[in-house]
Amino acid sequence: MTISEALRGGIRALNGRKRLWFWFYGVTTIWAVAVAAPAIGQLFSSLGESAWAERMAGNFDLQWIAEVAAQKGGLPFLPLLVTAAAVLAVSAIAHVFLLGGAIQLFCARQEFTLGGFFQGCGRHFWRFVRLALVSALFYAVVWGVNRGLARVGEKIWGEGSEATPLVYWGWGRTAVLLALLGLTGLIFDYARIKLVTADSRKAFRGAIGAVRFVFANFRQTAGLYVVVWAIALVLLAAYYGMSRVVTQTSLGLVVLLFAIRQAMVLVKGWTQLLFYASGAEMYAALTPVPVVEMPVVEVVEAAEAAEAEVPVAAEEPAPQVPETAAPAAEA
Amino acid sequence: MRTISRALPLAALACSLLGAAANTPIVDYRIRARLDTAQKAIDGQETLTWRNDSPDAIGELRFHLYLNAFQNEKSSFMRESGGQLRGDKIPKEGWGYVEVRRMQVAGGADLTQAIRFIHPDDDNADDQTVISVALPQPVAPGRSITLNIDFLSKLPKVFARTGYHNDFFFAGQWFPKIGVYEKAGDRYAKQGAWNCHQFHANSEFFADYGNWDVTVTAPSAYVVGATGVEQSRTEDPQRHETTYQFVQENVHEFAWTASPKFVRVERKFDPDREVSAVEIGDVGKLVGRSGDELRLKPVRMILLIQPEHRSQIDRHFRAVANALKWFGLWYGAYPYATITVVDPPYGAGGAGGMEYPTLITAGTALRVGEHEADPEEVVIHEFGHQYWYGMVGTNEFEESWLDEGFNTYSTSKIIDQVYGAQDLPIHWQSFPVEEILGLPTYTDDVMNRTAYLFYRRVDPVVRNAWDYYDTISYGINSYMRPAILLRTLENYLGPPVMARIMRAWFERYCFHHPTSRDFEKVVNEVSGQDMSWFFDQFVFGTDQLDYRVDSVECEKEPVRRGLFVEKGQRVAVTDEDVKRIEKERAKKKEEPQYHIVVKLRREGEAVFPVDMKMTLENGETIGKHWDGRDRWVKYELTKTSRAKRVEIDPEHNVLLDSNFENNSWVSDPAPLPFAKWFSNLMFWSQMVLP
Repeated sequence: MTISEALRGGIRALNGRKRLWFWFYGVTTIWAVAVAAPAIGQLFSSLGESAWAERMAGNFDLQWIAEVAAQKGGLPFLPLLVTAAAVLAVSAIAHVFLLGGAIQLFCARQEFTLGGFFQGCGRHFWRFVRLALVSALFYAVVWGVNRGLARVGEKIWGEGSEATPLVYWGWGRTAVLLALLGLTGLIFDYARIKLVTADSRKAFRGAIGAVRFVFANFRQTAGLYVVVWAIALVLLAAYYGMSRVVTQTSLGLVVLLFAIRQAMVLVKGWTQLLFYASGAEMYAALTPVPVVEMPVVEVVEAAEAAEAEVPVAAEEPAPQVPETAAPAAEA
Repeated sequence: MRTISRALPLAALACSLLGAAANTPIVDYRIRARLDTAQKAIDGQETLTWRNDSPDAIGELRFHLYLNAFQNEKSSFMRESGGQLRGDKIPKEGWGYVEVRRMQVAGGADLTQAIRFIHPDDDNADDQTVISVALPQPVAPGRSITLNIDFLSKLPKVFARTGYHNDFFFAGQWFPKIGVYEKAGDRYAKQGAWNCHQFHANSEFFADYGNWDVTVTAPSAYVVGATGVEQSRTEDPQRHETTYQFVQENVHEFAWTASPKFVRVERKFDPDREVSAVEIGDVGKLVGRSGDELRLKPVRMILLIQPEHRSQIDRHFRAVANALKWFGLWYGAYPYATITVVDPPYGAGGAGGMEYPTLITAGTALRVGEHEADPEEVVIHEFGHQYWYGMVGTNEFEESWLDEGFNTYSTSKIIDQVYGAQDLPIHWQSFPVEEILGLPTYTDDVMNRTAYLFYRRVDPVVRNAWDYYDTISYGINSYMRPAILLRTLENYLGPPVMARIMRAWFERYCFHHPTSRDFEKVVNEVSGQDMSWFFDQFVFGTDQLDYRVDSVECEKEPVRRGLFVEKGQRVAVTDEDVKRIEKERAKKKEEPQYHIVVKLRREGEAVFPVDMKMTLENGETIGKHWDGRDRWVKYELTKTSRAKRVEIDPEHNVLLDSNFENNSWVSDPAPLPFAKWFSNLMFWSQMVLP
C-alpha cells in the first residue's frame, strides 16, 4: 500500500465518522475551559473595576502581568505547576480513553455509534495504560541518549572558549532527539493499532511487534507519519498567518479569532485521528494474512467449526475484517 | 534654579580640566606585571606612593588583597556567596590568591613582617582580603610614603569578575591596593580612619584617585588591552614576549586582559559626526547650557572581541558611541582619550559586565535577535560606570545605589530613547525565539518597575552592601529601586530640573567621594525645594507607598423635601411637590444632576502628593490635587453626568506606588481584555493538552 492510498483511506474513514472528531474536540475543550475560566475569573476579580485592565487589551505586556502577580504576592509557581500537571494528567487519561474507541472504529471499520465507540474506549483503556507504561521505558531510553549526547558535547567542548561547536552540536542533538521522539511515537501509535486489531492485552509484546512492523515497513510507516506531520504543520502555519492578521483589537475581532482558533483545534484533532485512520489502513494492508489450510473434502463442516471458534490468531491481526464486523471477542 | 547658575560653571570647569583635576592625586602606582600563562599567575612589582591628605599623622596603612577572597571556602566572600555569583560557580580547583612577598619602604625598612590580616567588617578570622601594615614612623600630614611591593597573583578560574579561562586572562582586583583614609568630615567620617572593607559577595569597590603607569609583559602572540593609553610596546624576540606600557591619570583602578584570540578593532568617536546640532540644542535647553559647554571630545574606541562574535562588531561600537554621546551631552564630556571594550569568551561569562576606568567588559551571545538590546545594554551600563563610580567616586561598599542605581537610571534612559522596546532575550539552541512566540517586549523602565514590585520592604536603599537581607534585596535596592526612585523624582520635579540635578551632581563631585546626603543637597539646591521628605522616606526608609481609589458613588440628585426660604418666605416642598417637579423635569427633558462622592485612601505609610483625574460620561474631566498626607480624602461634586472613570496619578508618574491596580476605578469594566485573554488561554490549553 502506498502512503497516498493509506492517506486517502484514512481521510475517507475519518470523514465517515465526523462525530468522533467532535468528541475529541469536546473533551479537550472541557479541560481548556477548566483552565481558562478560573484564571480569567481571578483576573476579573482583581481588575474588573480597575482601568489597569485596559492594559491587558494590548499584546502580551510584562507590566500588567507583573502588577497582577505582585499584588498576589508573586506568581504561585508550585500551585500553578501542580494544577497544570493535574490538568495535563487528567486530560492525557481522557485522551487515552477516547483513543481506544477511535482506533477500534478505524480498525474494525465500524460506523460511529455511541455504544460502539464507548465499548471500544472501555475495552482498550487499561491495555493502552499498560502500553503507556511500556512507552515510558522507551522514552527513558530516548532521554538517556539525549543526555548522553549532551554530556559528550560538554566533555569535548564544554571547557572550550567558543560557543559555536556546542551550538552546532546542540542542533544535531535536537535533530536526533526529535527523530527518536518521532520514532518512539510512531512505534507506540502502531502498537495501539496492533493491540486493537489483535484484541490483545499484551502491551509489551504489542510494542515489540510494533517495532518489528515499523522497521519491516519503515518507508511506508515513517513516510505516512511525516506526511501527516507535514499536513499538521502546514495547517498550523496557515493559522499562524491568520492570527497575525486578525489582531484582537475589538470584540468582533476577538470573536473572529476565537472561531479561527476553534477551527484550528478541530484541525489538530483531525490530524491526530487522521494518523490513526491511515495507520489502521496501512497496518491492515501490510500485515501478512495467515494462510489457513482447510481440508478440501470437509469444506462446509470446517467453515462452520471455524465460525464457532475465535477466527483471529491471538497475537496477529485479523486478516480482513468485514466492513461492518463487530470487534473480536476477548480471547 | 538660580543657585545652579552660580554653582555649576565652576564645577564644570574643575571637572573638564582633567589634567589639573580637582584633587592632587592621593596615589601613584607604578607596576611591572609579567603574565605566566602556564601557571595562570602574575608576577608583579609595585611601587606605590601614597600621600597623606589628612591632618592626622598615620602610623598604619591598610591594603585590599581582593584575590584572597577566592583562595578557599572560608573567606567572607565565599561564605556569603556560597561560591556562586550571578549564576556562576567558582570552578573546582580554580582557586586564586595574592601573596605579598615583600613590602618595603623605599630606601627604608622592610615591612613584610609587619603585615597582619584584619577583618574590619566581620569576625571572620579566616578572611584574608585586608591587611594592616604598621609603619615604623607615621606619615605626617601632607607628606607621602613610597613602598616597594613584590607580589604574586595567582588568578582563579574566571569567577566574580576576574581570572583565566583557557588562554583568556582578565586581571581585575589583582594587586595589593591601598584603602582610602578618610579624614574627619570626609563623607560620613567623624574622625580620621581607614575605609578599607573586606571583599564581600554583595559588594564592589572604593578607592582613591591617582596616576598609573603599568607595564604588562605577555607572550607576543597575545593581544593585550588595559586601562589607559598604550605608551609603548617592546618585543623581546628571544623570549617571544612583548611588554606593553599603559599610562592613565585620575583613575582609581587598573585592569588588563590578554588573549591570543581577541580580534582587536579600533574606531574613533568623532563628536562632529555623531552629535547633531539639533541634539545639542535640545540637550542645551534641557540642562541650561550653551552648545560650547556641551562640546564632546574625540575618543579612541577599542574593541577586543571574540572571533565568533565578529558579526556584532558594529553593534558594540554603536553602543559605545551612543553611550559616549548621551552621557557626554547630559552629564559632561568623557574626559579620557580611550575606552576599551572587552568581550570575554564562552565559559568566561563571570568576567563580563564589569567596569574599570577606561576599560569595560561586555558580554553577548552567539546570536542576538535584531530587536534585542542585551549586548548594548551591557556595554552602555558598564560605560555608564565611567561616570557613576568612575568619575563620581562613590563608595560602592556602603552606598551601592549611587553607582548602580544612578547607572541603571541613566542606562535605561539611553536604551529606551535609542533602542525602544526590546524583545526578551529568550533563546533556544541559540535561536532567538521570542519574536516567533509573540512574547512580550519590554522597556527598561518596565523591567525596573517589575523588579521593584517584588521588593520586600525589608531594607532601605542605603546600607552596607553585605548587610542587605539577601542578594535579591541587594540587587533590587542597588539597581532597580533607585532607578524607579530617580524616575519618580524626575517626574515630580520635571525633566529639565532633573537633568540639571544630574549634571550638577557629576560636575560638582567629579573625582570626589560624595555621599547620598550630598546628592540630597544637590537636589534641594537645584530644585529650590526641600526634598528631605522624599529622601527620608524612599532612600533612607522602607515605607510603602500606595494610594487607592476606595469608592466612587454616583447618585441622581433628588428633589429635596422640607422648608426652604425663597424670596424671604418659607416654602414647603412636600412629596406631592417632588412628584410634580420630577414630572415637569422629565417633560422638559432636563438633564438630571448627579451627586458624586469619591473617596481616596493612602494605604501605605509613605506620603507623596498625587493628582486625581475624574472623567464623566459626557467627556468632562475634573482634576484634583491631594497632598496625600491624611489617610483618606473625600471629594463631593454635583454634575450633570455620571462618573465614568477615576484615576489617581493617571500618567503613572509616581512609579514608587507599589500597586497600580487600585489606582483607578471604572464604572463599566471593559469586556475586551477579558474576552481576549479567555480566548488566548483557552486556545493555548487546547493546543497543549493531548
